[in-house]
Amino acid sequence: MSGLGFALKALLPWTLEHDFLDLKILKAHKEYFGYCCWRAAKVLKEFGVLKDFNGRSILDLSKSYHRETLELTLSALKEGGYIKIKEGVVSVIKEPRDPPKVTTEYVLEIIPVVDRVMDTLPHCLKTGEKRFLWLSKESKAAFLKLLELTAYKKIRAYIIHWSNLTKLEEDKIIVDVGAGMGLSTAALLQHTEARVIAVDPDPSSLDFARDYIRFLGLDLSRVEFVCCRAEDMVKHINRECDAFLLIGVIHWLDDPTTTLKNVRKLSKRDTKMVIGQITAERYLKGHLVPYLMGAKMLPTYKEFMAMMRRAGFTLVKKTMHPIPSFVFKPS
Amino acid sequence: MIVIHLKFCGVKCNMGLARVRWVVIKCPRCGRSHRVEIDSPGYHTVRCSNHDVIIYVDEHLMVREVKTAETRLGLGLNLRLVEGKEDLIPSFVNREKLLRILRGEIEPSDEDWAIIRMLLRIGVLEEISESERK
Repeated sequence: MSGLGFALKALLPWTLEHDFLDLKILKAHKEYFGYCCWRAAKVLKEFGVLKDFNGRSILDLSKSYHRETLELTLSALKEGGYIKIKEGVVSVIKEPRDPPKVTTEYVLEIIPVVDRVMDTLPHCLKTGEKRFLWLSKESKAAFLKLLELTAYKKIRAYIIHWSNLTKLEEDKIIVDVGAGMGLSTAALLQHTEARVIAVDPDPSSLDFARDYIRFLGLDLSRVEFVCCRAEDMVKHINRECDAFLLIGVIHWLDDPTTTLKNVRKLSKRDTKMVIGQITAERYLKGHLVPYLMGAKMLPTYKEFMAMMRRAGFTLVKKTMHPIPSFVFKPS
Repeated sequence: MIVIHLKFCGVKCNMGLARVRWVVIKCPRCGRSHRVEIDSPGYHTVRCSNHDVIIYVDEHLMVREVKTAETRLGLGLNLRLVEGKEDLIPSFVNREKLLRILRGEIEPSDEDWAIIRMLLRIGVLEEISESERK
């Protein structure tokens, strides 16, 4: 490790705690955002949308374009330095030319996915319709590519260790809310000894998860698969659980408040709720890709904390790196 | 058992045992040439790209018929990668091995079947329909 790398690691204690993280993740964040902004600008230029934005007020634009998508798009274009917004009027200040330099393999891995998904942006801007919904077979492979990103795997592992889920004994139960194709479930099996309940509303994803766990040679008998919406899980899980894990889940839920209240109902006094959740302040500019695949808007930090309070949880521990992660306990 | 091969005029003989003959055949579908070792009469299959070449050999080890057929996997599945989705193969999949399985060069293990099912679910692999096979 270079001297600079060592110094940075010393300054960022989360990299020292475990061997899961490396400094490339910080660089990857920056490069990913830069690439997403460029790709959005490029696609919009090709479709003549960027030209259409120029000189128009946001108010005026929101009459012609889908409001939520417009908000995200303008945020990405502004962060990328392609537009500026002065007194509510958009001006194009830079044309997207050559793609930004991407050197980290974490980002290189998903460039084909970003490209595919961004191609649906003009349509979504005009109609609000998301053509790349993750639930469709057409999009699942691309969605999986995002989930199995090396950096994301490291982040999952880190959060599991950081939150001490690793200390739960083998008779304890961790609920993996929004288990999807089993990547977080597999991480729980790999890094903890506890039993896991994997909750997801998509049966095909859970079938995938079974095969993924089987393929990794992990103990499938430690997992119970529950096919239901997180909003309805109280009806399907009839026991109190020791921990809940939600990594990047809140913005995919139809009704996060009900889900969190469900988690509270299934919690004991010492149950841990571990959440890895990006918030709008820092991550909105990079949210276009998941948004176009069906994710909702990101909550702000304030909204997120208010949501947790309303559901009856108290913050115990938090870290903002590598992604904002929190441990809550029932109030 | 030690078998000594003698090569003579393109025909190898195992001493006192069965004859072996090398033949060069041309795939009727794509024109590729294959050098095939023939040691018994009957049908022989040679992998050729994404299909099979079937050779019929008579009792003198002479090639009588060459035709092509779609590759079939052990469990009767006909599969192929969906065009344009090759770059979406998950990183945990051994691409080379997958291609060899699809070409029918190796029989899939239980783990490989798990991968095949996963890839079918996410639309990276697809089954070749009966009509396409014909």
